[in-house]
Amino acid sequence: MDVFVSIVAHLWPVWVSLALVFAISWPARHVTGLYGKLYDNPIGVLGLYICLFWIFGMIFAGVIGDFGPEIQSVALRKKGPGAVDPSGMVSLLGGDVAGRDIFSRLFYGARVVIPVSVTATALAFVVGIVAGLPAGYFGRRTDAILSFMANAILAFPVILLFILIVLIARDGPLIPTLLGTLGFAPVFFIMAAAFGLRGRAGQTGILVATLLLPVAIVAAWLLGGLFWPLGWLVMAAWAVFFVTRTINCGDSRLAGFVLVAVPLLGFAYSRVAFSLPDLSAIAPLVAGLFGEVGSQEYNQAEGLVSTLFIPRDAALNVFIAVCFASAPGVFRLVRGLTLETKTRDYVAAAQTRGENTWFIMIFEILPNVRGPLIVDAALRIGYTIILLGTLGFFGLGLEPTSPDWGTMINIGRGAARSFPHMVIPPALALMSLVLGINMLADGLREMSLKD
Amino acid sequence: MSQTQKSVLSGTSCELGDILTMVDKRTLTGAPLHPSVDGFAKAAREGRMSRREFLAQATALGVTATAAYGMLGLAAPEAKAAAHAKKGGRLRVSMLIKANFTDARIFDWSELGNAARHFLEPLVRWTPDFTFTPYLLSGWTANGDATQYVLTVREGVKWNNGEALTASHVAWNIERWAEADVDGNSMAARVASLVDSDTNKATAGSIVADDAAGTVTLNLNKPDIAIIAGMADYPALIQYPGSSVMDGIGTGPFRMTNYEPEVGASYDRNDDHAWWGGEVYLDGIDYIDYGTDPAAVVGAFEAGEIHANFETQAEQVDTVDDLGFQRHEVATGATIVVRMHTDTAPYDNKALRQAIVKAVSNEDLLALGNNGLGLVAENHHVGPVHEEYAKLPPISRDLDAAKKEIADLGFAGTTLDLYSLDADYRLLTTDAVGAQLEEAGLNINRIVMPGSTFWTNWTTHPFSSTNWNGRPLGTQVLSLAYRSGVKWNETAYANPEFDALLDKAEATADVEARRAIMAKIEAIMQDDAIMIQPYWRSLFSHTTPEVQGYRMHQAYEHHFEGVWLDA
Amino acid sequence: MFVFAIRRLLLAFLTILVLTATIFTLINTNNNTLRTIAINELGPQTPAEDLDSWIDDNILTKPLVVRYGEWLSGFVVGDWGTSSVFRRHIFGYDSSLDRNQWGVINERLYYTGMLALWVFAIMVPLALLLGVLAGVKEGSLRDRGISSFAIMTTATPEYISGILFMVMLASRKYHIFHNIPDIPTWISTGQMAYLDGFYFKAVANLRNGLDFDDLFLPVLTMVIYGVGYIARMTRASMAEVMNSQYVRTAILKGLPRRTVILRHALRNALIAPFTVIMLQFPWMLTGVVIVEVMFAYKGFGQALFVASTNMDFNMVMACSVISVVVVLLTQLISDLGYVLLNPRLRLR
Repeated sequence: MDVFVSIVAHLWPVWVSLALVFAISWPARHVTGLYGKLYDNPIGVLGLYICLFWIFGMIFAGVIGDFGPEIQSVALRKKGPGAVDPSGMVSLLGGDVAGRDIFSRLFYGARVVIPVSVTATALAFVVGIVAGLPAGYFGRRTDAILSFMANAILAFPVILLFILIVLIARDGPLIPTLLGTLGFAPVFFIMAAAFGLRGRAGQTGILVATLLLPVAIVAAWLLGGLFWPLGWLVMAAWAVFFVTRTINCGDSRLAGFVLVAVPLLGFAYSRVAFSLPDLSAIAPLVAGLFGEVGSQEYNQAEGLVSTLFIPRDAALNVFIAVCFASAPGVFRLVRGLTLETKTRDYVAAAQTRGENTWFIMIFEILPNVRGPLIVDAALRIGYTIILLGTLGFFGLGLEPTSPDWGTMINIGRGAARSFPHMVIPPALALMSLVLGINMLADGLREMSLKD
Repeated sequence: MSQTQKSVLSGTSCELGDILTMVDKRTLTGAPLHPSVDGFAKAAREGRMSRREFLAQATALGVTATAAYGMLGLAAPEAKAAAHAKKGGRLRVSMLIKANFTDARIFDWSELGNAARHFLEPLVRWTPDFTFTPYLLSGWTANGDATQYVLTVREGVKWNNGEALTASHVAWNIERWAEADVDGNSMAARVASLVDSDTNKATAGSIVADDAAGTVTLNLNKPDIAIIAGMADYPALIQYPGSSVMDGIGTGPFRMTNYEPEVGASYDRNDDHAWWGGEVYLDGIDYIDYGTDPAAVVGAFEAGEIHANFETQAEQVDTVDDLGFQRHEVATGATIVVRMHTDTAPYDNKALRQAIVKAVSNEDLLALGNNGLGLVAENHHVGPVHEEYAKLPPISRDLDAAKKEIADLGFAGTTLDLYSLDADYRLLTTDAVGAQLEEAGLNINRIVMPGSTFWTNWTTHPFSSTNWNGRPLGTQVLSLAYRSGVKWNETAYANPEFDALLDKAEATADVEARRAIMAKIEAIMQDDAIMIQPYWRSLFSHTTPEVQGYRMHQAYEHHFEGVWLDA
Repeated sequence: MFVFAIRRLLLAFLTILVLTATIFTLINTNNNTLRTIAINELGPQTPAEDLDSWIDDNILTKPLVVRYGEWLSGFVVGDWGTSSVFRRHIFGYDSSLDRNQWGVINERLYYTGMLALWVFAIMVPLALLLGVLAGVKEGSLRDRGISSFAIMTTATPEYISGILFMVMLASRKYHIFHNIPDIPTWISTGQMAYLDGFYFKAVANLRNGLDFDDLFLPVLTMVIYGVGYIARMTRASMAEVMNSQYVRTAILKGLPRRTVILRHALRNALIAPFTVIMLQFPWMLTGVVIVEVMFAYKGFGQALFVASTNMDFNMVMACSVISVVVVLLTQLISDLGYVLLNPRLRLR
């Protein structure tokens, strides 16, 4: 009981923040639009506040937890809730097999789980939307090819996909390399085309600047490797070019959008593609298709790649795995919505105005189907959290010291019969967050149905 | 040694337990005592050599276990009185059932050895008392410089196809062990003193079988006191000439009825076959493979599915104790080292290595990494189980000094990759090292690999943990793993002074003198700080209380002939 | 209809071809996977150089395209090769063997089939019942209760419910009912495996065939995660039907509510869940792997996990094809069923 009171007390920054959010949101609920309407739906609000609980918990993890996420204390090993460290601090939910405080790790774990699942879902949405819009809009052969690809990936068992990705990409960043180049180049092209080619003067600059971003990142990365200020110099030069071109385009709505979207995309791109392609790595793969290639060549190629560009972050594998698993679903949804929406009057009007097709897709169709997309995004983040836990359960995802909940469950599982305190907190944390997200999604869905 | 006398043991079919107790002569064959045994005995009595070490050494040189115990002024442990043993019941044991179950000499897992041992038997058995006892042999003698061994094949041993075991059968097996060019034949290294390095086969004339006398004479290329120990290792099981393990032809008391990798294996007592050892109690043995997940084995215990397990991970010992099962323990020279590759930057910096070693507490690593079960070690890979172990002043963690040194060297905040396997004490110990180093101001990037990828490059990882099995002599591991340029030198350690001292130690028979050299070697290793060697492990397994006559073996061997169920 | 089915079948074959080619290429052009394959043959501590020379001599002997062709031609005639982990033929019946005449895949699919059968036999009726009960009276207390339960279960993945069940139902120390005998008493009874009231085994032992105890916790765990989703879909569909014009009219005509629901509403309300149920199969595959690994249930999912973590090449290919076939078949059935069940589409 003391422990429970103490836990509640430790969470004070979260309670204060939640109270603040409520105190601000409730009186203003009639003027905050979509967000305000959520307050009419008790389930949605409850879901929202569960999510907020974890978001604030993640933000204030350092204040809430008495221990660091990887601090090991011999005195806390396997001890149940209320164990006391020699320094006098109480471990509220006990320690795990390595003597780390479970209560603190729960909130540090949220720092892994929430950002990874949100960004991974965002990545899946970027891919799904970019492929789904043209499939629905153009139909015919584009649709046939893209749908075939999506269905093929959907047909593949997720778990086998994960294991293959993790095994293959463990030392040699082949998959990230391929994804980074092949997967993302079209995204930039399409974005650039959408921003630039509206048949109006003054916007070619945006096209050029956007297309130059991957080039700039590559150049900055290479030059920065030689001498680090060079890298920053390149990026700064690009930024100046980009900002001036965008501001001068003469369309404030577009400029605002581009100024936010392109840097975000660039960040995502550099995350995924920081292991850069090396033609020498791909050459033997191509040669091996039709000729005889020994393991020596693969070794050399991969040795070169992995010494230069080994991915430092285990989260990368997770991003890729989740993107693979989620993107086809997003694709199908976007394709269906586009099929339905493209016959609307405002689309026809834009077509007669002679707008660029990509502009129509991104600025006319996409915003009008945001309702179902938002609901799906919420559900998908929940599903991604479950996937992340699955990866952790199999020890495939993040580093084993990572405090993410799946890994915590995996580590504590062996002793769960005698020491259930090691697995139940992360299990409940994961459940509660997914439940919160599902409830929020439910609330949003009911709202969008009422509209 | 043509004058080999008949063993007092041969010609009788006796109870297994009797092997240990029936002999009252000092050597197994009645041959003169090996000259170095007296010196060992003196060392052991005076406490300069561990009791266990003496038993292993003396029995390997042909001294009977009883005599060896006697030389220490001790009585040999009585074989479990089997008078009240009950016959019947099937013993269910959880163990991984591995593939590659065709040829005993290429077995690469103790599990494979166990799965075969119920029908294939070794020439010599390493007992849980760390002695070597003749098994399919009735005894052996070695000449003074350990270059010639005469093995006497036990009489009255029959294959379960009805044929009698002959000296030629034994010679056929030894010749196959010596085939060094066979992929995965690890026996070749154990009988290296028989192998002709040009042909990769046994040197011509080195293995002489005399079916009439029932002896096999081994003429070694060089002195070798370890060859008998090699014959007691898990791949050294005697197969019927020309048969595969899967054929199930063997001399043992059980008959294999099923073997399915990843699933299980079953054995029935072979009542059609008169086993030389007499009577066994169990009706049969069932191995069940629950996979590598330790939680599943605990589940199996709790569900009453199994009577015994292969090994209880240190991390699980208290969990299984908690359920009321019988704990079995054996102390070993097995250990884990978290070592640095001294050829790779930044680990070529001795000062950094010293700071890293100083930044961790071996006591904490034992507690965090191995559930506190074991002995704290001292970073030089020689321990109390070794006869030549010299105790050095204790080492301790000095976090503040380590932190300062790391900062002074300019490594504060540097990211170091720390590799390990992805499971059990190896994962936890390495995690604990990582956490302690982070406290000292380094940034640790843990890289965790499954066994399949980890072991391919295990000697080249810059900073990684490796587990080592115990070896009887302290010099053995040092020469396997730390001598300049040897194959398993995972630290790339190359210290001429160390090499010279190690050569000297290996050539020194006197334990006392060897210990003096070892003290210097240990100090050099500690100073060079090539590794953190936190603890010596004990091995554990559990059984239900009804299992009788079961002992945990230091090499995980299952000897179920004397096991019975008190149901 | 017929043309539609044929087209879908052709597309399915193309999908299998593309996917197998992709996996084949990924595995065969990557050093990690190739070396793992070599380790299966040469043992775990083989030096990298030996592994590489083995790979050169045994795998990389022909161009990739040729090797894929060889694999494919063997595969279509039922020669799926030998598993390097299980050391047996993978597929088919081989009467020349003394034991284990059936291939690994055949055996494992049987066990997983039994698991799936029970999961569906329990999950589907339960979910439909809950969904209909909730959807008939939208907004009622019953609806709220069922909906809350459904949303809770969809947030409880197998690896969480499995562990909770393990602690609550399969551990003697923390069992929810305290009348479970303690270990010494339990052992002294001399019965090794018995079912004691609410005590359930958390490990399956399939060596002596399947029994209730082997299946109980795996089935329960999978049902819990799956039931909520189908129930929610059924509820939504039922609620929509109950609000539709023809049901309202029927009720207004004075037909008994019961008759209206059973005769008119139910049939239409079950079309949407049918699709959902069929699409649960791909989800089941992941669930099966988790549950089988967790409960040491030696079925297809466990084999897939062991094979792919050990890079048992033939086995990975076989598992992939089977998973893909299962998914594609269910997609096909779901599409065909949707057309057949829906009168409006059938007339077209």
